[in-house]
This record gives sequence, structure tokens and C-alpha cells, in this order.
Amino acid sequence: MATLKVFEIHTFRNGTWKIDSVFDDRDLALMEADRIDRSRRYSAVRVIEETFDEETEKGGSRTIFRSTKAERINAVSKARQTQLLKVAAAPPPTKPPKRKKSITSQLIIGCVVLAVIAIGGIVLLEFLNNLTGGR
Amino acid sequence: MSESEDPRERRLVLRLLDYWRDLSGERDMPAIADVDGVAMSDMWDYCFVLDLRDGAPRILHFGAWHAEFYGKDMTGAALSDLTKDTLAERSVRYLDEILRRRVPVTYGAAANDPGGRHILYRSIMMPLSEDGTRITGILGGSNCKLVDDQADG
Repeated sequence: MATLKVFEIHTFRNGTWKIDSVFDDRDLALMEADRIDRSRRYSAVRVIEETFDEETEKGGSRTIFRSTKAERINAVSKARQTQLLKVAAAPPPTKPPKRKKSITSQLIIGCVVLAVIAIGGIVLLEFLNNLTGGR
Repeated sequence: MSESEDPRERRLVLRLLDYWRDLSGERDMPAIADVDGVAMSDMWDYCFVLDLRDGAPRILHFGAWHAEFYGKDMTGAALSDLTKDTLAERSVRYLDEILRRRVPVTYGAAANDPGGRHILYRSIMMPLSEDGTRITGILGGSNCKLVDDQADG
């Protein structure tokens, strides 16, 4: 049993990656990708190595060539994804906790309220006293 | 399989690929009618065109170089008529892969043909379509060199 390998050339066209061609030979694929890159026919080019192990029936892929423009496209795409992930992962905005009033300020406010009530009561009694003519 | 060092061999498949891309333009693949042997006269002898429109695949064009190397002009024959293990038969052996992948595929290998010749070959097959969806034809090309005497076949 052997590991099968093919090399896919991908080109970036109309805002998306498309498979352009498939090679069984790494050197030939890389040579063609380099030629495509230099021709500026497409925005960007990359070569993906596809492997398949016949024994384990498992496969994998990895990029073995990336044009400079492809790197830029991938970087922009990655940055966009990271930004989206950050937005998705950020906790929801919370209200700032209310500050509790201190006991001292509560006592002062209480005293002021009592004082106002007491003074108001005295003024009211004095007023009623005047109305009754001081009897 | 390692690629041949023969620059003529490399050039053929890559130049054919270039030609196919030019024909395709903005489409995914060109039509059979777009293929013009005169426009690629330097490669046409090494090319073959397969017709997949009706039933079993047939050979629409069998380049002069292939006819000579194979020993017979197979134009008009069914694909299944090609003698097993010849260069021509090896060159179309992975037709199913083209139909599945829908993009050009190239393979090369060292092999012995039925005539006892040890060859180092490379072939390419590229899809053609009339409506851009159903693959109705194949533009292919291949050549080889004889390993023993290094003569180009």
C-alpha cells in the first residue's frame, strides 16, 4: 500500500479560489504555479498537496506554494475572521454597579429630614397658637 | 513519479494547458467546436480529441504523431478499441478522473508498451463542454521519449 499524492493548482478568480488543474508531479505543479504567478493572468495562485494513505484510508492537504498576492488575500481573510470571532466572543455590555450610600450620609439625610419635620411642626404649632389668640 | 527532464515533454502539456485556458476565457471550459488544430499546429499532431456526446466515448481526432507511434490511425474508433498499455491507451486511462474533477489533469510515468519499448511519457486531458455543465468532450495530448536510446518517440 502506498500514499497517493496529487498537487492541485488553485487560482483566485472573481473573489474566490478555484481549482485550475491537477498534477501528479510536484516540480511540474510548482513550475506551472510560478509561471501563472509571473504571467499575472489571475489575482493569485497557490498549490495544495493532497495526500491519501491507501492503508489507513486517511487523507490530508497542505499548501506548498502561495503567491505573494495569495498570502495577502489569506491575511486579509484571516484578519476578517479573527475580527468576527472577537465580536462573537465579546461579553454583552453590563450596567455599572450602583454605588451604595454610606451609613454616615444616610444618617445625615435622616437627621436633616427629622429636623425639617420638627421645625415644620414648631412653626405649625406657633401658627395655630396665633390663630387661637394665645389662649 | 519523477518528471522527465526533457523540456519538450514539459512544454507540450503546459502549452496545451495554456491553450485550453485561452479557449475557456471566462467560462469553466471551452466547447469542442472551439478547438482549432490550425491555431495550434505545432501541438496538434500530439493531440487527441474525444467525443463523449453519444454513448461510448469515440476518438474524434488522433494526432499524426500518435498514429505513427501507435502504428495505426485510430480516428473514429471507440476509446475501448485502443490496445491496452499503449501510450494512447495510458493517456486516456484516467478519463473518469477528469469527469469527476472537471478540470485539466496531467499524469506521467515510466512504462513498457506492448511493443517492448520502455517509455517515459506525460499526458494531459482537459474537459470540453457545449453548455458549460455537461462534459461532452476531451482535449488531450501526450508524448514520450524512449528511455533506452533517448530518442523522442
